[in-house]
Amino acid sequence: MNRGDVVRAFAELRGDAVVVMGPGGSSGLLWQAHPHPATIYNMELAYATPVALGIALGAPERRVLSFEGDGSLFAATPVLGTIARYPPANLSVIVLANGIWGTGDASIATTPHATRWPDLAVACGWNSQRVVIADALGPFRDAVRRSLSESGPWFICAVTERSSQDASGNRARPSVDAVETADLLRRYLAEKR
Amino acid sequence: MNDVALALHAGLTSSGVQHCVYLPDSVMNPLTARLEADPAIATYVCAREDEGVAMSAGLFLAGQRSVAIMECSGIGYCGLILARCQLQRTPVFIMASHGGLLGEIFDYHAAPAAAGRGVVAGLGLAQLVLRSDDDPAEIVRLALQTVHAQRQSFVLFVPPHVMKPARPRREA
Repeated sequence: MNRGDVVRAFAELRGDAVVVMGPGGSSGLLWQAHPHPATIYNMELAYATPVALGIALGAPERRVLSFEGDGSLFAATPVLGTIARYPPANLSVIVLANGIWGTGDASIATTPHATRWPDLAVACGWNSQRVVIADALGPFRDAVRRSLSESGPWFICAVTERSSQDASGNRARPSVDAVETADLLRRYLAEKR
Repeated sequence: MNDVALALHAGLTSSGVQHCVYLPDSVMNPLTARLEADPAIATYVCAREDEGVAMSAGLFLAGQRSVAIMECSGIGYCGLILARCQLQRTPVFIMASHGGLLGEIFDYHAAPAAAGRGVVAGLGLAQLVLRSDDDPAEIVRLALQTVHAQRQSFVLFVPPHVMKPARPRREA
């Protein structure tokens, strides 16, 4: 499976959950697949998961997911320890692990290797029963469904092939900007309270 | 007992703050210890100050009032996330130790203060250095009023000489 497959599968399943997307190609793909006001697109590198954690702590009645690439989440690795310390039952972290930085010509490998993400989460204190690695769409869909219906936090590592969508110039882009996306989410959550 | 910590705590409570994200710091410890002991305020120790600011922005999006407490050096890490917060108008109220010019006693606090003040000045954030003769509770109340009315971040610097222990009472 590639980035587009994973994002489209995620878009079908997320329902009305709050989603904070990391920077790069996945944001535009999610917008194309299913625009939803409860979404922040292209949060800055390393901050999608911390922002999602704040929303999850502040809105415990809502399901909240962060979705970012392995390059972005690796820059935010300390937050895995913070989540383990204050584990919100309504939070899920999805890392799209394609093993490269999705910028430029997407040729530079990230650290750690894609398959080691679950080890990192467990080492930070996550419950291994809620840490899942998926390298095919079936297991990925199952993991997302469970994370939306069962108590968390959940860590889902989607291991993907590299694809043409990973390079900077080939990115789809959301049609809402950074200001609009935050205000839409804030208003959406206020109306649902 | 610390009079200033007590007053800062009172200012936060009277302004409806229910969440505190912080990284431990010797100057701010009298305040964070009080907040930890307050069942009306949920406290979270973060791993990095920029992570804490991002969490605080998330809390704002969820309709909650929060404070992020850190040493001044932590603001130095926060340039990118504070810029995003300003851009998208998800304000964060930060209380940071040091940041003033008076009463510093260690050379190694010079770089943290320079980093923190540099980020605040570079982004044009609203900021104030708490003074010994200020009313800390009222300063916090007014700062949070600005944060939420104008949806802009605000940094309140608390120098070490201001966060001092209470004076012992004299016998009558």
